[in-house]
Amino acid sequence: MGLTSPQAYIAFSIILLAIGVYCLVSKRNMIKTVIGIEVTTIAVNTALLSLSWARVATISHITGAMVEPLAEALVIISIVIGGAIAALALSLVVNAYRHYKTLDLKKLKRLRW
Amino acid sequence: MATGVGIAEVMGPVIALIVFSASMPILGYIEGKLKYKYLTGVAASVGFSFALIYLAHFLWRFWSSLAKGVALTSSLFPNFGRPLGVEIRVDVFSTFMALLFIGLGLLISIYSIKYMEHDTGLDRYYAMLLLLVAGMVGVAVAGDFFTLFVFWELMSISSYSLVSFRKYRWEPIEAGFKYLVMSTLGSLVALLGISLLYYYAGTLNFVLLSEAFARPDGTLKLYGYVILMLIFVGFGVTASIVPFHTWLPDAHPAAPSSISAMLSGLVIKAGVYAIARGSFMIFKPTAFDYGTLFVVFAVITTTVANIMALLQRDVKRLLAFSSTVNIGFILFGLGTAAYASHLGVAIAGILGLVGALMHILSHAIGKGLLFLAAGSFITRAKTRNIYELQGAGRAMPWTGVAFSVGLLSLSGAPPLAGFVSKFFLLMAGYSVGNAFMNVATSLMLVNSVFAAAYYLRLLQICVIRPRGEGVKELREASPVIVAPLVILMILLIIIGCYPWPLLDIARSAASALLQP
Amino acid sequence: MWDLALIFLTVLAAILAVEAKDLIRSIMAFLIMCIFVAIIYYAMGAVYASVFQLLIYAGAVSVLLIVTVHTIRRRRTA
Repeated sequence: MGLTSPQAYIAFSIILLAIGVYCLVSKRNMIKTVIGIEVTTIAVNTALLSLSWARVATISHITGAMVEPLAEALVIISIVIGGAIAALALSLVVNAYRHYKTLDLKKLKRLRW
Repeated sequence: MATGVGIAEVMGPVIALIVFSASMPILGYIEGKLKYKYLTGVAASVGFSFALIYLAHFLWRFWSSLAKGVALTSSLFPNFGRPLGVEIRVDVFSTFMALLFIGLGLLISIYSIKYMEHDTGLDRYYAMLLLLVAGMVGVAVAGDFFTLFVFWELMSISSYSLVSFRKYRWEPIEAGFKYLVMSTLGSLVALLGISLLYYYAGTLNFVLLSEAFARPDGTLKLYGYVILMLIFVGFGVTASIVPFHTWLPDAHPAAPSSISAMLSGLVIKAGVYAIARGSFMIFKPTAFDYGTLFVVFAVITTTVANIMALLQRDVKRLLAFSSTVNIGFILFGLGTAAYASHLGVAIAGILGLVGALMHILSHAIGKGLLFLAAGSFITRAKTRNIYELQGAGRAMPWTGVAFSVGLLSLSGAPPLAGFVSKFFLLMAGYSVGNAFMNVATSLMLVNSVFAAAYYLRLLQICVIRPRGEGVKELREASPVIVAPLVILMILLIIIGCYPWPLLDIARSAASALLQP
Repeated sequence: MWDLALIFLTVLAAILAVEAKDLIRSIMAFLIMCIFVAIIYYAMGAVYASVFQLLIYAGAVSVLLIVTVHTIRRRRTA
């Protein structure tokens, strides 16, 4: 099962990054903001993995995908941190809902980006 | 120029902090059973003291080699070799920052014992405080970007939860959410920069990376500038450089005052440290010209934050904007160092870095003192408006004197620490001696005078004016709150009057950073 | 070339996760996106990263999102 070139995956991660950042800047719902953060995290992780693969492909001409262990370890750490941040952000969302009875970011008085 | 040490010796402070942090839930349970509400606070202070003792012991053993500019390295997995083994790297700059982090952390935990006594969930508070300092010390001793990123996120996550600690009010929740979103995006941008570094060099180790970027040609130079921008922006969000500073004036007032002191004194300094490590260590200033960028950002940061600070009526918000101003000064020192080294003016480079390091120290102590003193006023007077706090310093003499000394130090009055650091920064700027740096330094000088104006206005309102209506009934804070303030005040005076040993340390740290 | 289809589906799921009006639909799309990304990581040879992606994103984060929405919905009706 041969994969296409790592460049396709780098492009994929850039598209995901654009989607995540678009979600962060344009959506008013706090849960959508959390989803945006997570999509951005996944995009950066994918970028790291595919850059590592691209590096292996340029130096050793191995066919098929291969990811170096250091990059994979960094991605695992980043995934775990993303989970922790999601949990913290969602607890803040629940608390904000208790105060405001809304999830709309525009209704939060001083929150200006 | 590197000697190996055991990993347990280097990471001793971090391990002590994490162990005490992990024991906090049990201590909190015992605290609930014993009905003695200060147990966790005292335990946290003991934890910080342990970390300080570990660090002092480490310095006592290795200071002779550290002072010569040798970097001590050790690896978590020595058998894997350089690119894979997670590496710890300690030089003078690292120990300088680690000492600052743990020392101020100790004073803040002592202050919190009394300051936080009416809050619930103190075991979580102290666990997060210990983890925050552990993360910052880890950032300071990291020898590769992997370690740096792990400890960076440890620091970030604990500071998010500490900012929104008083979750029964709306303000901390809102500010915490904003801080979380912005700072997470910043970390991700930095991670993108790190992954591009990895793509080019195949390693994350600082030393190997600096070898890979030692002699850049055309395309590699462009690539290096892209990575520099990503790292600068990513860590610059936490360091609150101006286009990315908008979380700071909300997060600092919303947090408990002890945490504001922590954020303003230490967390944003960790951001500056990461920028300095990422730029000076890997991209040698002789090959890359990023000094101009740093200086321009520094001038913008200082000017914008000064104007914003002048408009504030909330004392903690004013102090928060003044943190951004001082980050501008530190960044100016780093930028001057890089710019001067690029031009080949070695002496101005050393002076700039010495000024930046001294300003990190004097601002951490001074702004920590100011936030702690402001917190002491606020708990008694129940208001943050500076006009309602009129004359509060007369009602609370010890806190008032400490507050005044902190304000005078930050405004750069001569026998105090702030004067020494600002003097070195401006001297470095003028000693480069070309038109660009002269203009930038003059702008910084004007800004410094401008900043002194509103510090003195705050001093005049809060301390010199006769007591206002709201503060008639104020009593002096408890001795546990006053003691850290007095210690910080004495430190400011000592550093101002006798800075030579610290200048020596800062000079050896600066030359360690600038030399390859 | 089979993986280009996978990439396309993942991007589609991501757009749906961002743009869906209903929060539950948006979270479901996010869950599907996480599973696709885990498959992509597995195909790249990063097996452990794929396992962690499944455990933490598809497992924990999606469940947390659903629990949050559920808590908030119940308060709104009550």
